[in-house]
Amino acid sequence: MFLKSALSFARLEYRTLRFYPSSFFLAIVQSFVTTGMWFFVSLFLKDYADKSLASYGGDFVSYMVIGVVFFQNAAIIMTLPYQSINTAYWDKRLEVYNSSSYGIWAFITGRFIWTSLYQFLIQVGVLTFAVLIAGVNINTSIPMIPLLLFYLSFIFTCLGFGLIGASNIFNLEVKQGREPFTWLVDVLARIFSGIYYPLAVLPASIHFVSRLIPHTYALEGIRLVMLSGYGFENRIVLNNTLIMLGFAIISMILGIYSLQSALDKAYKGNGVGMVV
Amino acid sequence: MAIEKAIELQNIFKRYKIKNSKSPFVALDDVSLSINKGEIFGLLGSNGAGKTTIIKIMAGLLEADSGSGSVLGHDIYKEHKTIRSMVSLVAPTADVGTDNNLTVRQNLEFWAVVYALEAKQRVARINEMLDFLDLRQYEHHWPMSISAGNRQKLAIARSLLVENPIIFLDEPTVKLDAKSADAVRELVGRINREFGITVILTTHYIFEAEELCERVAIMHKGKIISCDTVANLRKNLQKYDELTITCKDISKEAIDGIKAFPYVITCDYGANTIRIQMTNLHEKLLEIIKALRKHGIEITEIATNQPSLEDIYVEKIGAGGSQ
Repeated sequence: MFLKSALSFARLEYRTLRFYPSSFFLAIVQSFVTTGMWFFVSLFLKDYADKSLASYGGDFVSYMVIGVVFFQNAAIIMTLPYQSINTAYWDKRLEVYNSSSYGIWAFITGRFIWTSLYQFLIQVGVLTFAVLIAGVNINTSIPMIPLLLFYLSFIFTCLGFGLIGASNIFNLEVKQGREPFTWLVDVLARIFSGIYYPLAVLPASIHFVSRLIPHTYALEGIRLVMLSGYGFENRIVLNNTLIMLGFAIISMILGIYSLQSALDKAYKGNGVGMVV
Repeated sequence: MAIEKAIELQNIFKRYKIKNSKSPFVALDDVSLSINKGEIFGLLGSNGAGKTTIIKIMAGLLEADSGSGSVLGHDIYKEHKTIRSMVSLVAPTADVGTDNNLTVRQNLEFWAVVYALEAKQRVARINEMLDFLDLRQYEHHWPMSISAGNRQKLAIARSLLVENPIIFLDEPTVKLDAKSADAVRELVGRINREFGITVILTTHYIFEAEELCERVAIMHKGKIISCDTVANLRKNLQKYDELTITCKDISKEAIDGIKAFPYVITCDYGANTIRIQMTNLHEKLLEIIKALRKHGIEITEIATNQPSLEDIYVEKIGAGGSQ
């Protein structure tokens, strides 16, 4: 019944989208614009940057497009729990959801299911366009299991981080503006995880920061799989898969624990919502 | 036979932390309450009296700082999740929980799944609620295209999808026009009568509590300053029923006869009017009329004035405020 309840929330998102189809169209355009912008930047830098990307097939444009597409998705999933709870709080729905059988968890799960599917479709659309129209090179024989594991573990890691961030609504009383935890992860990922440039560009003394961020392992793994066609026979792919699975499990456990603790704290303190 | 209790609370305290303030806001201050199964119970008080806080605690949505209590036999601290699943809640404004991108029926379908209603029961229960709340004609309308009163009915329908034994209605008629408010009040009575549901209603409309509730708790600054039936609250108020009789040929003997009744407190008379302060007006009115007629007095008009719940409220709030 929990899943049915969550799917009901996912369906609600779908119905809202049907009501406002322009939102879907604008989300696609936004994704194309962001990816397109970096595509042209990478075209401009291609000749110089290709030299540094031997391990990824020496193609900076493909490297960049894949990094940007997957990072966008991760960023959306990471901010989803905070935005969902925050919006429901100000819409005065949160307490009503909380009074239902599966409460806020069914709501977040439903929103996550819907957003993941929605974003997946956009990602596939952008990548297909990039490959077929813009001439982005990806490997013709991509090993699907490593790719799927990287994709899922990356999404669940971001969801776990998002849940930790969402707990700050009650722990730090961050009920408006940006939430600091996911903001910090997002900023660190943008600088240190190699979304837009190879890690070799960064000073060696701060490489350790890159190794603390899951995005680094996920993007490195996804690129090796999609651009070079490597599977688990490649040591980096195997190691990064295991690291990402570890990140996913730990961040989900911590995320669920922190949000539940925050909800319990709110229950004992000033309550979950503004109005009954 | 002992009356079964739906809710019992003893010595409940609740304080809210206020950002940038060292002293917390005292929302509930030693509140004790007992609500019988199947009754309509009113929580009456002005804004900030603590009505919503006590409802949240009773609905398992907020933990009390101290005190003890149970809802349908479940401990308010240890079993608040069970309590949540056994009570229904309607927020002060109908739009809370209503999705404007779903029709009236789709809203109920959405909540039926969220409330974990069995698939087999859903359609039948939704139809039952649409009929019961007279919303059938609007089932395919968008919530924003129906009146505020009907949106409130939709909110009530949502909360009644699950057959819970207790429903909390937090200011159900606030922001409604007089006609819609009347319809919602009529509905509250029907919910109680037809489904046997215990209704706990908060309101700051005194007449609403008087019209609907069997018992009323008057709240002020986090305290319950009085809790009883409206009749008993009247009785305990040091304010007597008033009877004004317009008549002809008043005699001193007749006035003395009336003064002799033990329930008459004062009796004054002028040219054509007798003013009596008394207790038990409804029961003893006929006796007074008979006594006047016995003395040949012709009565042309009778006016009665009992203390209203508003009088009681004003007096109690005055006393509570001075405590």
